[in-house]
Amino acid sequence: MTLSLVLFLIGILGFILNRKNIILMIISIEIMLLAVTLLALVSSYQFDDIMGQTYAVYIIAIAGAESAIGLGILVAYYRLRGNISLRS
Amino acid sequence: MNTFLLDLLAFGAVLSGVLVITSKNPVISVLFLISVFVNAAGYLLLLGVGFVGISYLIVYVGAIAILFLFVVMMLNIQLTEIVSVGREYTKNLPLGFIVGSLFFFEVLSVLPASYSDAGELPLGLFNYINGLFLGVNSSFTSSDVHMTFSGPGADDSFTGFLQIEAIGQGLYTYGSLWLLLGSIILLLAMLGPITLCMRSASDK
Repeated sequence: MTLSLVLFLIGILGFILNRKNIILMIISIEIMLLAVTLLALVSSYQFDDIMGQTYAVYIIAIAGAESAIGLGILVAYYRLRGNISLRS
Repeated sequence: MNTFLLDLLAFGAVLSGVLVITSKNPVISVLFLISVFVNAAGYLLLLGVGFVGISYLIVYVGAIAILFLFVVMMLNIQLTEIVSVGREYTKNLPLGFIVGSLFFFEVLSVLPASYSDAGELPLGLFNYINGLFLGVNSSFTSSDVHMTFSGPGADDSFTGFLQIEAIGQGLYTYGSLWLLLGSIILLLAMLGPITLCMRSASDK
């Protein structure tokens, strides 16, 4: 519980403090998804219910889709602009 | 003894997470992201959630982190473009401080105090009430519940098929519609980057 909350806070702070680095922003989203999945898993373990682990499998699939789309957009942006700087 | 290893893995995960968001080079940051995932997977394995811990290693470390590493090394990134120094960095600090304090405030005020420690849920009370109804005097404590669910060691939890069977039962019966929805989302995630790259190639 505490681990997932601290990891979620690290993800939020990494998203806010690195506004210029879009790769680090996507990585922070991944850390936040990891924290949420950890919370679901630890809760399912505590309540002795398999539903949380079933849900964690869905979250893992969605996280893979999200990172693939984000990195695809990043590569397309880099081809258009020549850099990935967010500040114009 | 298990608790010490769990604390060690949790500390490693948090330390690697801090190093992810503070390192300047994206390659170093992705390598620490792999460290975060490995620590979280070890935490889950040691806790007894075996199948999802192993699939963390496969999916996150084997697929997502390598995808990040591939993209970071493929793009020719100048470090001066993405590293914000001085005034550009410190202007984001108040927003981070405000959001962090709000997060702490929400967590400490919304969650009840008994829920904040994951090991101290009142499972003994539930078992006592169940024992009243069933006529069985079961005096399980919460630690007994842990032992009956997880097994003593990390390797017991994924050599036995019980957990995987239960997850598969949940996935293919009441969660089958969500499984179809997730497969459609994964199909879109495959089609989206292909479409993006094809359009930029045809413009040349």
